[in-house]
Amino acid sequence: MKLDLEESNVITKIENVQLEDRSNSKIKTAGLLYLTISHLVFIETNSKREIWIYYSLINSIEKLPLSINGSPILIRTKHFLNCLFIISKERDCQTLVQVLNQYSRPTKYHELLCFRENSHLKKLLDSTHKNNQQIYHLESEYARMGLPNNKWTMTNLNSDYQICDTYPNVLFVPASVEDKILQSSANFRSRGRLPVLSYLHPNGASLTRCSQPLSGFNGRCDEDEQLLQHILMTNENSKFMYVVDTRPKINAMANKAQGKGYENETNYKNIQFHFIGIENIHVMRNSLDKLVKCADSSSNSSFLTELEKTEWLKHIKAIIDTSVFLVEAINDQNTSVLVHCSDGWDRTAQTCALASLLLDPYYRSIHGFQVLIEKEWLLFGHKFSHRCGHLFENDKEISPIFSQFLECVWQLQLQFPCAFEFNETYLIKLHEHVYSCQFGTFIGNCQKERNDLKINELTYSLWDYFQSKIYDFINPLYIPNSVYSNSVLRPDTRIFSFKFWRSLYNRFDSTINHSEKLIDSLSMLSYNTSSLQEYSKLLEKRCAQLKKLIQLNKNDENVLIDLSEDDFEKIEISDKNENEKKSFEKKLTLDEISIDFNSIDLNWKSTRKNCVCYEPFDFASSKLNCSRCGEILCETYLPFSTHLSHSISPHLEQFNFELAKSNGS
Amino acid sequence: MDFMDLIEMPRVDHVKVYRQIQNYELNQLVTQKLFGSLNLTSHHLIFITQTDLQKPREEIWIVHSSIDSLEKNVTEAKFQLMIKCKNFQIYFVDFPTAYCCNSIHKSLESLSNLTTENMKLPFFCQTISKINQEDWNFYSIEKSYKRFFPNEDSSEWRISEINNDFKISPSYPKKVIVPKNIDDQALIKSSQFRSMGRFPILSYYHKKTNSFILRSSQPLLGSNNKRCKEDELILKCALPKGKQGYVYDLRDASILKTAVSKGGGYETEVNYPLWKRINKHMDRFDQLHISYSKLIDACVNSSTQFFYKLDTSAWFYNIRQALYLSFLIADEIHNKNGCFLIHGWDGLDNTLLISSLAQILLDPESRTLDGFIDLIEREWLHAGHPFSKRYFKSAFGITPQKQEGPVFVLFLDCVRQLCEQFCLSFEFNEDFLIMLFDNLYTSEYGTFLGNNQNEREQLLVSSRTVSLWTYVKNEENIKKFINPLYKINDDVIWPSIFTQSLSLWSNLFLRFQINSKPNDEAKKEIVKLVETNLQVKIKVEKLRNELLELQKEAIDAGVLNSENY
Repeated sequence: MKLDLEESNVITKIENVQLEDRSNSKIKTAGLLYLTISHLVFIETNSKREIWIYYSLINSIEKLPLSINGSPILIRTKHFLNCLFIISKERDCQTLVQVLNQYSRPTKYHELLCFRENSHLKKLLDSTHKNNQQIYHLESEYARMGLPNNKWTMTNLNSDYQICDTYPNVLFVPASVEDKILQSSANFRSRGRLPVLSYLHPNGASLTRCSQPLSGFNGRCDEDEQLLQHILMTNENSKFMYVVDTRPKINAMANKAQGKGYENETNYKNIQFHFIGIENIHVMRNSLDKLVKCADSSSNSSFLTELEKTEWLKHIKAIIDTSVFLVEAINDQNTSVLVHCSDGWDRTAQTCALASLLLDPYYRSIHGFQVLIEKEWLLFGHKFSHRCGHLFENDKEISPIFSQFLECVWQLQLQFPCAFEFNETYLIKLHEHVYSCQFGTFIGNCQKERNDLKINELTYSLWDYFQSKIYDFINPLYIPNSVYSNSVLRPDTRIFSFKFWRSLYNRFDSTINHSEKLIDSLSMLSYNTSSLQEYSKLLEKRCAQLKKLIQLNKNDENVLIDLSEDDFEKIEISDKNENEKKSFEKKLTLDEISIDFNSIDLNWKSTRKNCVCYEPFDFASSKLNCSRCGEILCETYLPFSTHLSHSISPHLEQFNFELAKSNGS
Repeated sequence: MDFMDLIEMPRVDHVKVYRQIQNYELNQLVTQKLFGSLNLTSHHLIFITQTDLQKPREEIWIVHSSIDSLEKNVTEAKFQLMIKCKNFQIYFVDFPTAYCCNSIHKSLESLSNLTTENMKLPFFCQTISKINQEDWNFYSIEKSYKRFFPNEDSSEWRISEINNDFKISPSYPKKVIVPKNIDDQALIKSSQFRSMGRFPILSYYHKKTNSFILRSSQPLLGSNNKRCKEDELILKCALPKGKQGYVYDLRDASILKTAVSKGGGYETEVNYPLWKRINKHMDRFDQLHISYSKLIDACVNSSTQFFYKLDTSAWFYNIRQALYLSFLIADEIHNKNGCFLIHGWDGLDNTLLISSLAQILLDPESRTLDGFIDLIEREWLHAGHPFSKRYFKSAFGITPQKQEGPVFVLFLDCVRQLCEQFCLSFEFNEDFLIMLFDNLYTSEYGTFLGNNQNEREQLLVSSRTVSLWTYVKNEENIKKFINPLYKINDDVIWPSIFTQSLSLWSNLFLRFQINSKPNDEAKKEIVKLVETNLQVKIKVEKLRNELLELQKEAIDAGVLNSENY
């Protein structure tokens, strides 16, 4: 988000800075660096191009060996912007590193951006959603699945987070089970994360989730075994159920030595136990590090071999493979599944969320997807702040678990272009704001923590922000009732179906991303269509009014020469509707018609053209046409445009306003 | 020789055919097993399933020339033939006896390897009445000349008919464009100095900057360092004042000595002082064939290390290199003052690839459907790319002569990468490129027969076969090949050449493995979006006119005034 530098508090300014092009080290652009309290800002001397980097997005600051031009500093962000600044004075370089280290990772939650005054968001969100943060109630989502029913019920056992502090305060469990059993099962599960309902399929098969049992080498818990039997019995269509441990077997074995482990098939009646083999957070973190280096355009010689070595797509494939296994069990075999990993908040969240998305078309709508994230990730305690490194804490806790989920969704979007209501930009922006700390939505590690931090009262919600820019996020190819959007999705999981997500990992490399974005031109096309549809309504209205006026005039010639105000009032009493039209007709003037007539330009520029402001830089910034003059404007340019003639507000609102005016209301 | 001599056994019953097909419901590849009889005709292998009450009769037609390789697997219990097709489809056929397996194998080996052009499919399967001479004459050098030089009088170039009887250069067309002040005698001299007689001729003229691309084959220096004054003169005369000439030699500098020792060579800077020689490596067609085989192997047997296998196939290296070199040429021509002579060995393969790709970047015309067909005619068919030799076998097979090399496939893939990067700037779509690929290896149309114009004339291709363009121009067919989002882009396009920016051509190389249905659905939706938009535009136009008329009427009637009054 671009802000006005004058409005930001500038701490210090560094002169004589060069930005080196990552794809061609010979190309350097000169400029100035500003350090504000929230941003690192680079402004090019010769052009107006500006780069704004939130401190919270900075991932690493690397001092490279001194060169003849000065001290090079490579800054990598969590949303994959790589900037190599060459700073002429060593002293300036030290200042920069010091400020960045100080500001980029605060130690306390309340130092995060989202708790600060944000005039831009205030302007944007307060006007439309006055503190109207959408809060997802778990109950309503379960109600959508038809719950509670005679098989499943809601329990308030965790209302004060007393049995599990990382679970939500409302849980859904088999109706037949007693609280005592739940309590004992929680005691037998790592961090009290007992088996609870995640998703109920219309065929009665359920998806439940938990953490690993504290079984050690031969520990068992009668109540936990009973709870699984109760879960099994909620589904009349199957005599057994699956328990899926998403970890590689060797990891699960190692946990046994620490008194944890996995379910013993002989102790639990009628369960089939499966290991799947998704690697742990440390493996994923290392894999992403390799991927980022591989994607960096400065080292590109044998990209595909390097990509293979990162094993990133192998991990993505493992997650989707596991989800497909869950889908086949639930949908095709009518069999319930209980999923866990170690603590049941990483791999379990990934696979349960993805399986739900494959099973239920609702989660592929914009609203449904938000509900899914709220439920499986936020409420069931995925540790966002730890995994994203929001605060200066243990680096070993950082891992791109949620990013992998977003990438899995993107891979599915590739395979099923018409099945999702949201587009790629939505995922890229979501990825950015999970890290950006501008919104409170992803701050904290569980519901309890967010309640304690008063997130809902003190911060803006990302979902509200997305809602305000919803037109950027709609997939123009979404067909709500097609085969692929209306049923279970069955992705192809052979390795060649997986693609490198260029527009995320090379988001800011304009030389790598394609010049003509299909998604932009399609969005523009449907935007154009809906604008024109509204416009044609307006024209129709005007035509009708004129016709009426002319008609009225012809009739009146015989009866009345002049309609005085008094006559209008008489009519007003007799027919209110009629009056509305007439009072308007009186106001209708040539100028008004001409304003309406010219309110839209029929020849919109192709999205091939760049924004009037500057060269494209960020793949995820959408291009829009100004409906009045047809010029191309990019998203970053819009809110700060001094070009007042550009009409940039979502078209429909504007035309609704016009229509409302013409209705005289 | 008659076809019937090659067919011992025209029909075998009790045959099982296995093929992999996509189960759309499960989005999975499943092996389909069919029972029935196999029939051998002069051009087809036809498999007909047994009539069954439950299932309707199914037929599989395999053109002999579409068979790339045959592998026989005869054991005591199994008599199996694996048929790998040039379009990457694979069939397994189980025979009831070893005898019929051997017999069919023998027949298919001969029928799928017929080298006699006259026996090929296009001469047999289309009716003469469909032949449209206009489509055969789609390309004419006069038209190109007019396009490059709208004002003939001020042009420094002329059309020469020196090769009218294909004597000077058998692989060149009858007419070529050469510098105006070079006479035909000099051309003859130059042709004797160039491999296969392919003297420098104009390939593309960039009107916006008056720069151009010439192409030829390597000069025949030999070890006694021959030179040819006339050849030097052509290059000297071609280059206008203020331009820098570049000889783009598509061979690695390290290989030049070998070339000289074999009687070939390069343009020495002493003899061609205005021209700067640049050596850029491109894999030669035979190496490219190996790359292609590895690529398809990675696609067909993908399991572990898929991306590593893709990388080692070098297919992406070749795409990148081809795009990169054409990018450099386009940059010099459009933004600087460069003019080019491109050649490699004989100027039959990579030369044509680079020159035609550069034109696609530079010339908006070549991104239209007609312009692209014109480009294929001009830069590949008339330029003498040996289609018959290069595409005799596809990724699974090779002839002992080793003349195969999928240079044109690489070209199509490069164009597809460009179409993907510039989704609004090409009038034709991916399906058009795939259709070209399919007709390249085996076709009912005569367009890709023979190795050059000379051979095609001898075969009387244009009076005995139907042109592929007749098929394309058919009203029903052309719709399938048009990109609905196309809007003319007058600019030069600058592609990205990072490996990240490129993609595997899955709709071609993985065509029998992926489910294309969701993508087809998306394509239809795009067409729908465009159509709806068009409809509403028409409606708005109409309403605007209506409003203007009503407004006029209202003013005339005195019921509407401007606020100013």
